[in-house]
Amino acid sequence: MELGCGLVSLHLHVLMKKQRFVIIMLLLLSGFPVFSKGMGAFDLGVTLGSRNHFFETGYDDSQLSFQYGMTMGFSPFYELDVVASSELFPDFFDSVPQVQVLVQRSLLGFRNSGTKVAGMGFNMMMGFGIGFSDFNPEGRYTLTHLLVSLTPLMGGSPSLGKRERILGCTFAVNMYTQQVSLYFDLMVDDFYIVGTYKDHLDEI
Amino acid sequence: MGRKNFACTLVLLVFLFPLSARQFGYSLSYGGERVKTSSYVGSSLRFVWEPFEWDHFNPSVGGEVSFGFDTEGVLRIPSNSIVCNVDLFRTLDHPFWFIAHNKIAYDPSIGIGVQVRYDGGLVRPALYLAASPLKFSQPDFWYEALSPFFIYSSEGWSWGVALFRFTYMFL
Repeated sequence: MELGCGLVSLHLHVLMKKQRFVIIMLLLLSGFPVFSKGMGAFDLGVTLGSRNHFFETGYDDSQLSFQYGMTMGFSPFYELDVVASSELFPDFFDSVPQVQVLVQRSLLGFRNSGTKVAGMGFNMMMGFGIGFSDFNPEGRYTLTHLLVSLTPLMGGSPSLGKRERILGCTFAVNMYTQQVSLYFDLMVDDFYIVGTYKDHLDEI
Repeated sequence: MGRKNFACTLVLLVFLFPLSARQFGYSLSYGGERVKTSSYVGSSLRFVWEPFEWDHFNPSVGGEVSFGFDTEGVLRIPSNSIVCNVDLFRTLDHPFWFIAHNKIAYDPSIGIGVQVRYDGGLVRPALYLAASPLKFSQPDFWYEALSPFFIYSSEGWSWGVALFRFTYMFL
């Protein structure tokens, strides 16, 4: 009994340490470049948009969801997107939010020039990632999906402070059911807080 | 005679439609609505007439048709509406500078109208109330986001939201 309690407390201790590590890493990642000079192509923005999930109706019967999250550029070409989606229709915020983490790459040149020059106004993006949900036979909230994403049209850029992603498609493979589904984002807007041209005005 | 009529019509049009402002436009929105028996997700097409350019309580009228997929995935036309909107005020001094790259006016609006609903197996009238707390405008373009609306019919209250709506004033 004592051994069991000990193991549980050890497990909790390790879990808390992991959580603390993740939080500190996120804080460092998001906070450090805000105070640094010469941030390069780093940028950070808020993501808002629509989302439809097709072909996984056994677990997700939502018709329309609201998408929200953060987008973080860490090089002129690559970015990390962390988004959650909550059901709007038919049942308002009824289910647990689905969370997706994607690393994406711009396909038509710089996504952010890292200077006060805006660079590309239009772009495409492709990426890979993982998804968390309770779409598994046990109903546990865990890692469930492998994702491949393609955004055929993006207007704006982090340098300009605003970006619109249109007709984004994310193909998702549920690792528990081997079912392939589609997340369709008609329109997603990114509003940038850090890394716009305003942060590069004092650069030569 | 025909030429005279044509010329008179042109002169009248010039007087009726001030050259400085576009009065007619169309809008497309994307969103959904939840009614008693079902829910619809889809688009609305609206034709808009905005006769004035007042800074406060600026009215506009619109006729709208909605298209939406119901819970069975069948495309339907749940309603037609006639809506009168009023822009409460218009200002360039607002905290939403990050919405657009260029200067854009903030003009939140509220609306009231009548609707003819075709869902639930009956054609029935309904009261339509709407708000656009995040409405932005340029002379020929309006941008609205997260605009809720409420409908009262013989089935009671129902609601919906236009996640975004784009209006282009072309005439």
